[in-house]
Amino acid sequence: MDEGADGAGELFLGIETSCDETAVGLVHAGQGVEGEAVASSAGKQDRYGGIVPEVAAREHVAVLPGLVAAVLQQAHRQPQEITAIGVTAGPGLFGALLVGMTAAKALAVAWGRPLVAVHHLEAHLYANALSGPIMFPSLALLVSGGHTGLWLWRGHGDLVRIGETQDDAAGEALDKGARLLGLGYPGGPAIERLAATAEGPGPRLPIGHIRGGSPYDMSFSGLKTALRQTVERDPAVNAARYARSLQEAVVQALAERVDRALDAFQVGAVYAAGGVAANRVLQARLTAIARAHHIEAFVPEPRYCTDNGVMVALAARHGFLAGARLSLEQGPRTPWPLGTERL
Amino acid sequence: MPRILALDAAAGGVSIALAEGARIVAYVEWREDRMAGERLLFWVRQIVGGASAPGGVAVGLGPGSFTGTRVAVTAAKALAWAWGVPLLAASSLQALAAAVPMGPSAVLSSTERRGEEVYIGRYFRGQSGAEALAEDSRWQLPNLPDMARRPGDALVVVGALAADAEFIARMGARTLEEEVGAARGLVALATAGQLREVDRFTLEPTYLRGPLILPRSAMSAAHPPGRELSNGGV
Repeated sequence: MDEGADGAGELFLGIETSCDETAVGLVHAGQGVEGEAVASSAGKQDRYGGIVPEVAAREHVAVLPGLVAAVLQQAHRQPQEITAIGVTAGPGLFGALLVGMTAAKALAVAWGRPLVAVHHLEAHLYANALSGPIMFPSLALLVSGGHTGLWLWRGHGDLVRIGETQDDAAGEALDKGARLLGLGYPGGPAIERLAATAEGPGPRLPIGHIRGGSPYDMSFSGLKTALRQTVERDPAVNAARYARSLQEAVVQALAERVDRALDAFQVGAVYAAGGVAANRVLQARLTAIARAHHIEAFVPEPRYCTDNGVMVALAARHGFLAGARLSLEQGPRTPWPLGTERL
Repeated sequence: MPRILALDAAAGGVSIALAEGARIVAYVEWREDRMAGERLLFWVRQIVGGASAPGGVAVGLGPGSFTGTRVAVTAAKALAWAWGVPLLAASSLQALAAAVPMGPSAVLSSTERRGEEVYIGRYFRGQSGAEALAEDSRWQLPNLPDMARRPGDALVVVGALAADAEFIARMGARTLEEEVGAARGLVALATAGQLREVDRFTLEPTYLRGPLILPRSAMSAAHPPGRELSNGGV
């Protein structure tokens, strides 16, 4: 837990509703996570074969403010003890964000507490603050089903984007591949489990390279086609080997960019975050690359890699200390690029 | 009498009232579509200000704008829980009907209109509150809804349909000189004892329509004009 000298004794509530998970977290600056709860509409979304924004928004209304009450009860805390309320203000599904922001605003008005607008992707990176103070400058890799990119993290609130996917997110590539192999959603964990059972490596899939762009940019949209063609050409190879091929292609593409960035920039650590960061093969590769550069790679625990309220509370703390406030008249902000443009 | 904060955003804008018994001490209406998220809590803070928490929160549940209703219901649930006061609710269409100056009259209230589809409520506005004459529904125009009214009672149309002169003429109805805000009606319903106390954690808006928005062509194929629309799998 990041115990900034100026922050001990502070309690932060985080509310996250950017997609299909309603999540609430309560974090104490000195004592770490005090409470957390997540409700997901994934089960209901399944019926529609994808995320329907209206279904997500309806589910958020149904469980708020109940989840907040449950978290405060879990932590044996009173509302008056809360220093500030953080809420994801974007990017994400507009109608879904609006519900979380409305609940947060209402609590802030009723309790007279300050409100902090939190960037969803920055919050993911802050999940790493649970393992200790963030070291600056560092390299931040964000990999999820909706976003994939690399940032130079120079200080709190100071991120510079150096590379990103030009098409699909890494998690999206895993989801599409999983569907092709008849696996469930989300595809990442299913692919990882199946790949672990493969006896030997699978056929090599091409890794997308971007010509003319940043050396840290990525492309994952070709993977699904390549996997389908490989499956058609060589149907005898079993699904586990294909899963391993797909995982390897995604991990390799990410690892190459991280390696290249560590060659180019002097940083003290690598921080990974997002759902795909929970993949153990990716974690092992990042650890090895970081060690080769004499630094350490950090990844949050799996439950803090996916959407959660704790990361929002952690990001809110830094936003609060920096004086960032959410006005009651401010609506969701989406799209909302993270950090400044490339160097 | 306890102070009540009443909120409604089913009809496009937001309507907020603070009342002591039947007396409205502060009222704000913001008639701008899709701005509930930015306006509602800003005005709640302006109205409630530094005063102590009200004794109850009342909210219109819709049907109407999905987003507006969600903002009002989410805000009302969170405010009532955070203040530790009862949460009271009614249909937004009933609230609109109760906002009509005292009857006797039959009131056809309407919230969001999308093309020929509109949410309608049919109520009798007597000396207090508003009694339902039929269930709130999604209606397909140009059909005219049945309005069972007593001889001599006026028919008043409020809400989205009040702007449709042809509809008003065909119904033989009249409109009000000033549009009414649903939060005023919530206060009238509270005074008449017609609000029900609801759970601050589990309350959900009344949507009267499933979450999938189908293209208009698919909608008319599924619901040929000429009857009340089903609830779309809600």
